[in-house]
Amino acid sequence: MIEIENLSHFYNNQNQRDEIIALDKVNLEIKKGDFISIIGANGSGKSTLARHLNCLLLPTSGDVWVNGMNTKDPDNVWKIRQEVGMVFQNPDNQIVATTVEDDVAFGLENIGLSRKVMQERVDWALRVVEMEEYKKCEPHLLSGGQKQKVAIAGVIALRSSFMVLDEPTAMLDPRGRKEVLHMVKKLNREENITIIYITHLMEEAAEFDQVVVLDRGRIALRGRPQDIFLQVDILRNLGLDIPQITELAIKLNKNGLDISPSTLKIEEIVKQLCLYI
Amino acid sequence: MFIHLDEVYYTYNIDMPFETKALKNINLEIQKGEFIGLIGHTGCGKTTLIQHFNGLLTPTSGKVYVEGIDTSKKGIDLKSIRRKVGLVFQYPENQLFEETVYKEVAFGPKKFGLPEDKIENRVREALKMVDLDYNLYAERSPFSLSGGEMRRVALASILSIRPEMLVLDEPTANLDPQSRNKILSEIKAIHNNFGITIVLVSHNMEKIAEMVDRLLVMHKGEIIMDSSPRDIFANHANDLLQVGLGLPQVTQCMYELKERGKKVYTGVLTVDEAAKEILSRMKSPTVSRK
Repeated sequence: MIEIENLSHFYNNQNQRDEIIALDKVNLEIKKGDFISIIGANGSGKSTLARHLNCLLLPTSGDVWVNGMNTKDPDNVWKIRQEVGMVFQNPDNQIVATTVEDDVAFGLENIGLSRKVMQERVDWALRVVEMEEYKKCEPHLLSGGQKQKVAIAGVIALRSSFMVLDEPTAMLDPRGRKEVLHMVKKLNREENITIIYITHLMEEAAEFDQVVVLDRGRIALRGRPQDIFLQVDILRNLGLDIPQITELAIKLNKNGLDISPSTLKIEEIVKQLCLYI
Repeated sequence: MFIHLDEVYYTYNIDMPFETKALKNINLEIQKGEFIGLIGHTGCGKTTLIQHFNGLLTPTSGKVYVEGIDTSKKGIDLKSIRRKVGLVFQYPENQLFEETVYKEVAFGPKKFGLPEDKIENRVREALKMVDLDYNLYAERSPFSLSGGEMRRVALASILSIRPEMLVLDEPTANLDPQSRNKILSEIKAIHNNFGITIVLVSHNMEKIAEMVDRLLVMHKGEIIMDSSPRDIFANHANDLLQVGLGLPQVTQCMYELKERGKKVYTGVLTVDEAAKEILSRMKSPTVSRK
């Protein structure tokens, strides 16, 4: 479990004398097995929050606890980083080795596992992300989506129980986006890995069990996507939007059709529409 | 004709182990005033292609003409080509470097030798085009701005050279929905009000479908489709999926209805069009309405 208590984070602004408040007394509890997306306008604090979950940043005030370990305690840093894996936006910045399997093994080498165990873990991780056949491949020959899956494999190879992904699909084409989303779902459902997924794409956020909406360093909303995306005006005021399908559902509902305005996915709206057409 | 590519091939690392054919037999004509979308999976050659539009790259074989000027000919005035065709790369805010927004936007016109007294007007004009208030922004540091604002300053610094064509590579990556919509509506307005030719590279099928008049689809270094977005999304969905692309959500919704045997038109591009199409296909409106 991750517990965030009264977490504030200030950045020093070098040009002006005042400080920028990136996070303002945030309280959030993330339970093992949660499947959460975080949305919010640029500058709302999403990435700052993510970086607090594995000690890349430390609180200006307040506390972050990962499985009972406080991130402020220097003795916990490596244990926490092993528990909470991070995947960033640009796949090219995260690849370090010359073959896919070496890249996945990189984290393991640093925690001193035996060669045999390492080999097993790497094979297992690549099997889970469906990249086994690319084991000997040079990472730069992979597509963006495949590179992200290799980065994800590197995290799960460490047997991390939490995975934080900061806009992992921002640089990917539609197929790459689908691959990454499919993968995080699978890891959550089959391996019970807790997923915290930051995105600017509302259609992606709609796929999660819970949505956390950040606004100027505070949590503005938290709930199921079908409840969050009903609040169209609030979301638009916060610089956000709703998925195109939800917009269509709302429009049809206003035109007198009995279509639920909290419809989020294509298959849901198609099912409802089949009764009418 | 504004830009003409004639049997263009481009190969990276010729005769090296990593030789890559990035462009293969590209034939393309772009007329003044067009609004064109360019889509394709990562690594399909989109960025290589657009770098040919202003002579940043010249073809390995074949010819590129910008207003009749052959870009690979020796001794041509490349500066005049770069002034005509403005390229905005991915994450252009990473290229900001000046102390103030004013200096940033003034940099291009200055380099092209515009007299100082005309530069201020250009800066005012360019900032207005991206909806940034001159009085509020001109003296601020570009690095104190939000991501969306920085991107608009970067865009203004290209617009200040008054290009006749603007090529934008994923201009909305990383922006929140509101900043994304704002930048896209500014691009649309720049096209409508100033007649600037636009080429928009994007992975966002919903926005591409809504905005462009002509759509180019690239795959493995070739242009495999060149038609209206309506034709492409209505009739070539499977081909798009096969090359790693997708459909706007509402278009996909129509396809899935059709797959279930419903008689609907799949060429809808926007929420409004989809709603209209659905309402017009209802079996018996009196019974099915709530």
